[in-house]
Amino acid sequence: MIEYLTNSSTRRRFLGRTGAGIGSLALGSLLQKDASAAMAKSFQKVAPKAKSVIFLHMTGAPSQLDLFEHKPELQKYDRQYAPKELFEGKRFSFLRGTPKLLGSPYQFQRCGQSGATISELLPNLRTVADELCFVKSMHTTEFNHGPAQLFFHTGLNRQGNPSIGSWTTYGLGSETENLPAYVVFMDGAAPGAGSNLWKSGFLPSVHQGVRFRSEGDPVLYLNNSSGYSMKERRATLDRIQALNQKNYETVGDPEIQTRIGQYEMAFRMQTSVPELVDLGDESQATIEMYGTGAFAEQCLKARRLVERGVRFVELFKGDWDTHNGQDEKLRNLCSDVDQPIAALIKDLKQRGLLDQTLVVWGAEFGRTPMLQGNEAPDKCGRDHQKDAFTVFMAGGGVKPGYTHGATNALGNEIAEDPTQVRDLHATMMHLLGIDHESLTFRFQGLDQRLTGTEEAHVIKQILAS
Amino acid sequence: MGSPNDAETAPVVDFDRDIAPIFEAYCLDCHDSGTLKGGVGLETFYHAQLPTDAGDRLIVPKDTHASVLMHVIESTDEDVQMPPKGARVSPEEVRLLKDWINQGAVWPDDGWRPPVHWSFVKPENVEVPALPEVTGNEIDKFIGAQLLEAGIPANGKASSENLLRRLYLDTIGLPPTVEQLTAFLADPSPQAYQAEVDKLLSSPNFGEKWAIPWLDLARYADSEGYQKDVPRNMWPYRDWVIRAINEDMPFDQFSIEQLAGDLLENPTIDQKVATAFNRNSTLNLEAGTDPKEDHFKYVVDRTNTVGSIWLGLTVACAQCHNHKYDPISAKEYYELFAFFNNTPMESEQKGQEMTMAGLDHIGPELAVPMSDGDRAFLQVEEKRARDLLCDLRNQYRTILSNASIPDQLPKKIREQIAKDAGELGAGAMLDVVRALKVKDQTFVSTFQKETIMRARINRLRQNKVRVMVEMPEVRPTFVAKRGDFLTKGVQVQPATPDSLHPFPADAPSNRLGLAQWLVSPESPLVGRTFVNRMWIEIFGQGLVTTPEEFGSQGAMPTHPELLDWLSYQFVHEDGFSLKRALMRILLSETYQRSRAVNAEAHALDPNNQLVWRHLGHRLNAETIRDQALHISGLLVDQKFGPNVRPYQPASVWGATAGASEKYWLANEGQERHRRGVYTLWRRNNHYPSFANFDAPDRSLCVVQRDRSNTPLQALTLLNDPAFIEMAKAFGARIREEGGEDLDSRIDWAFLTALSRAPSDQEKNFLKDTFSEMKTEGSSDERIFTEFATILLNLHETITRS
Repeated sequence: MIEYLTNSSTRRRFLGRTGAGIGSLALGSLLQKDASAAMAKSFQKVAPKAKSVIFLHMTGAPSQLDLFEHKPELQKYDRQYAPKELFEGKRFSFLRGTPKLLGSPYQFQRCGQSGATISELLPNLRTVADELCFVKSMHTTEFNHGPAQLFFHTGLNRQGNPSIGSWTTYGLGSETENLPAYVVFMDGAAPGAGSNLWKSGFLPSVHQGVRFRSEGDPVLYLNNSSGYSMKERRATLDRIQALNQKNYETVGDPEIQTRIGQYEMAFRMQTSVPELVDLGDESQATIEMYGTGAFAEQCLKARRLVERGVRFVELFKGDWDTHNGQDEKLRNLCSDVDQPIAALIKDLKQRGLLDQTLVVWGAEFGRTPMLQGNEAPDKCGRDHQKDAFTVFMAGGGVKPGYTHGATNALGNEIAEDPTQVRDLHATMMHLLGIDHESLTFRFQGLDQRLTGTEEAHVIKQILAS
Repeated sequence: MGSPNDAETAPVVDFDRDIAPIFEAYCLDCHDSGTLKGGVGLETFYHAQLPTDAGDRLIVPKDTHASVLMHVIESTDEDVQMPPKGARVSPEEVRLLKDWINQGAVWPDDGWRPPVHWSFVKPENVEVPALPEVTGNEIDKFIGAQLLEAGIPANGKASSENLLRRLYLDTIGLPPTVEQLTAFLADPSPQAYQAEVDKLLSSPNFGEKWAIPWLDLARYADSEGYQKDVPRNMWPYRDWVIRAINEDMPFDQFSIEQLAGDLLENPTIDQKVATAFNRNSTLNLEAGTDPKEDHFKYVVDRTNTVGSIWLGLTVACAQCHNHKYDPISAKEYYELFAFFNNTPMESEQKGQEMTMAGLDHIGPELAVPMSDGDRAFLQVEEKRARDLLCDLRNQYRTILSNASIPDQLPKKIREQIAKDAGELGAGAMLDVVRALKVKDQTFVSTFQKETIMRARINRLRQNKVRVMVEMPEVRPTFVAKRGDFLTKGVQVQPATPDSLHPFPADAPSNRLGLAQWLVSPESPLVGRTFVNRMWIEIFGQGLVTTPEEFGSQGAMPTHPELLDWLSYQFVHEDGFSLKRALMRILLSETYQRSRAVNAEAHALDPNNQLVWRHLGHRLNAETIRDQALHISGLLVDQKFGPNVRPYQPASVWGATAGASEKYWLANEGQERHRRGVYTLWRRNNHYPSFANFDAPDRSLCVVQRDRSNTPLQALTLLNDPAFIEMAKAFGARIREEGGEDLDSRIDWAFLTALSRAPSDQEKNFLKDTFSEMKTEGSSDERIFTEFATILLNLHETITRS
């Protein structure tokens, strides 16, 4: 990779003394350390299907009723007063009084062999319908963004618990020593709950997600300050390492070896991250397949990351909170994400990566069949709905071309197979080969786990046979 | 339903013969003493007397109607009936149960009681082991006794250099200067160390270091958290904490003022400011939030925080169900909760219903008088706002002179255009630019920055801090079934858990009484949790390694007698004084031991649980920064006042800054070189070098910080512009202050950064580096900056040994 590494006299001197070299030490905290060492993998009770996860979080909550949930009945009663049972005794963020219903103005189509319903807003996704596995009966406990996003990511509606990505790397470690195990991208408005959604909570902070940025350094402080070349940085690093090594020989504290390893990892990241985000080695066909825009680039980078062994990649795509002016917003957002997501799935498939990569698309909750705000087609919107929403998955051991669960005629309530967020978490863990009840971390006197103390079940029906 | 008449005529029911077999057959699968589903136990007399998770009574003698047991057994509702599946309790058995209850529900006491956990028993004044062969103070005797027993040799004393550095970092959070080090080394008298301890404990920097763990516990931050994460003005509370610690306010008073300063007789402003402690809870101002639900959440947070700090108990479990392991029922949880439930609402929907504008904070606030320093700070901020407004006006003038002005404009806009920019505020100018349909990103961003500065100034000018206030009328508290605030169980009154010490007879039944109870010398936990946290601060690991959990799920103490002795001294002899308790540790030989690893001892006790050596631990985020500023000579030792925003890359803030304050407008003057405790703490967007070194976002009470070791830390120390600036400044100091020749400069650099001289090997290594770089043509400036960078990045530098 970098020729001058082996030419540097300092480095030779240093390596001469330490013997095997320090690269292997970098396995330090990120690689297979914490949980596996502590628990001897007692949580790995099933064979893993997926090695990596790409989690596509549509912050703000897209309208499942305009994307996947075809409800002719809702169409029929469009802009008529909603029946009482839809709102009486229920809690919403904004709807008050007697709201009206809002039929979806979009055309739906049954797609592929599986006949999944996908609206005209997602034409590209229709072409991969047979790869998708829908859960149309999701429900959550929270109806405001902050708490719901936290719940969807950490299993707790307040700040303080680790995200699902942190749990994953805590359990499984990483398969790359050049990149962080858990990478986060963002496009559009940031999620309200902020970095709590990729923090490691009470888990060791080595498991927090590392944000890849689109402006400035791709990883914060990755680039050397002006005036320092990589060669000079390598020389500085060798000097730091040499003195740290002398200190180790005197004191014998293993933490010093970890520190040496982490400095090496940092240095490797300085090369591997820019290489990762530089799409120059992708074919024109691939780049065109993903399309243009920040989200498209991020989807392509996500593929590059899992290809290199990164365990968990999350993409936050903001602005789906369509309380008003839904039509224009939805059209724009769908055109941002439709082609890239379809491309990601196709690309993973053609590279033989889809089987071992679990793609999850979802949001913190869904939207109401009731109309919010001005009735005009270009002004109206929908409120938050916690009682029924849709997620879909692909690859990683889920049943392709399958739909699990259903809602009632108006889409406000679950009619079949209610699925809680904890069940989704348990299932994702299961696909990674982790028993969600056994992957624990002791904190505040309890063996904490992602799914908490309430019951959670793997959704057996959606597992590929 | 039975009536007393039936009871008289029915045959006498015998519990063991008639009733226990029914429970055995239908109930114990889920309701034995191990499972206790729903908080219901039917195996022992003890459990049967406890309220259920919902706070109901299972069996009420002579009242089948009030007995929940009969209600669920007889119910035909599938969601309610018990047992939930399998055979129903037969009519004959139902009759037996009813007769038994009507006859008084006689259940012979089987005598089973939960074992009393060690931490629930008040610590006694343990006798200090009489061990003439162990030197040092009482701590050393306790530690020595266990080492002797285990046959582990203790390390000798650390070098004087090492010891002084340790002492400085542990007391004031800064290393000694070369002069301070030299003076100490020059005085071999035994009093020299004691004198240093005395000096450092009374240093005004002491509070800046010791405030940090308390601010983690108090979840002190400068923003609301959640979606909006709006800035809030809470720094007067942070200053209160630093001052109280500097003055060595006794911990009982320190606690009472924070929990209930407002309820003291004629409270001072400071005592009211102290109550901001409980206003540090996060607040959800997101549009559509139910203020009542959020109220429930912050009262929960206050209850849990009190549990973590003063009781060392995770009471949070009992929020949803009877605590599975410790004797705290859900009902008792809400009785504790009730103490905090009597404060006014803290948020409300803006304007009319159904708006996207979000909620406003409406909780009680107190205007705090500003000091001269605060006013000087404000003046700098005001100048900055004026400059921004001036820029905005100039940009506005340019836009106006280049724009074609259509005829059809609203009257108001036309009037504004007619005016000189100097007469217009930012909002009016924006209206005009919008009306002219000019898209100018520079103007918009200047507008946003000016708006942010104006909001910052307004907060400063008002300088209101949030405080606790008790409402005149009591808000009723109910058990929230399964932790859901909408599902109300029985109503409860403020009370403390039965399994702990009694509530003081003369204490009022409010927050003040609760505070007095928490710090009562009768409490088995107040001293133990305090001295354990102090021990962690010094030794890196606690005598109880689970400082947040002293209950039965926590770790047993490694030195139970020492813990109890320290606790007793702290409460009964030291008058709750942190400094006295700390001094005892600092003067012990145990504290002064070297860090060296003795192979024999290491083999017997690799984790150093018996404290045979002194463990090194990585410095916390703020200290790493403070120390580097100090070493590089940049540190501005100015205390107190409004929060500082040091420089950080623009991309850090904007993208996750939530709905408000989109730009991080850094303080540009010497402010940016102040200590980390004064850095703005925004929950959703933490100052990055702090986040990378494990500083928590303080959304919740944090009892002990993590100490990770990650590549991001390496990148921070190597490339964070703040650390690069420090390396340059330190490099310049090495040249200017380190003497004339290379040898003395290397010595000086080591003494400054590591409080020790370099070994010959290290010195030769740096001399080689010097020649190498010289040969490559590097300037002296470049080479000494390189030395500085190396030293600031060493593991030893960021470690307290």
